[in-house]
Amino acid sequence: MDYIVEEPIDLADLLGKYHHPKAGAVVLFSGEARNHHMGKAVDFLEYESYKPMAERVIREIVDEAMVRWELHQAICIHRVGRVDISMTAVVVITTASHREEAYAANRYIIDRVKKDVPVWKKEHFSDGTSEWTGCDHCMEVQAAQH
Amino acid sequence: MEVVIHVFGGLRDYFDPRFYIKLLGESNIEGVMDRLKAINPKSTGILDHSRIAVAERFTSRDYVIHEKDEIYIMPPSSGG
Repeated sequence: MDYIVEEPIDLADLLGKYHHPKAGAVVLFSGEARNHHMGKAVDFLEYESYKPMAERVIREIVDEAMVRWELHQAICIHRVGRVDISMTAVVVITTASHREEAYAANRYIIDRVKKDVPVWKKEHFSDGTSEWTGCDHCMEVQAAQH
Repeated sequence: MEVVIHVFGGLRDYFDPRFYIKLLGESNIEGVMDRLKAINPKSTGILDHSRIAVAERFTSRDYVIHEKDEIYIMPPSSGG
């Protein structure tokens, strides 16, 4: 299983693979490219990763969630490269016996992925500018220095 | 010795994705970071918040660099 992919993520196809006879709940989260950021119009997003580590960290997060919430299945796939508006950038699916565990595990996985997995997002704005996101405090420090 | 540096995300606004720096004598990661800040002072804020990996493992800034090490400097993640 690849956790980092370049091609578009087919949610319907993926969801079809995540049903389990012991599962009473299936939760799917799709993180999608939106057309605005900080009040500016966005044309598309671009993601890059340090793939060897990104793959390993995602696998560790998913494995941890599987044990912690006694999930039946779990997957997280993150796309890299250009992602157009309304397309899926990241998907998390969790299946569990009950919805509490499926929701909690899904939320845990996406929160950890956003914080810990070496993936970076660049917003490409409609005015032709672009900006890497994720380190607002870094920029504040830089502004203070100059 | 020469070491290979890889940078990602916002650091690519300041450095090439992959480049070499020459180290004179023993150096740790912190020493490399100081060199990079001297090369491009505007990168200081983001370098201070970056994580470092060697051999695909996160490492601390007091890690002493060895011949043939490749250093990966990763700004805070922004996936999702």
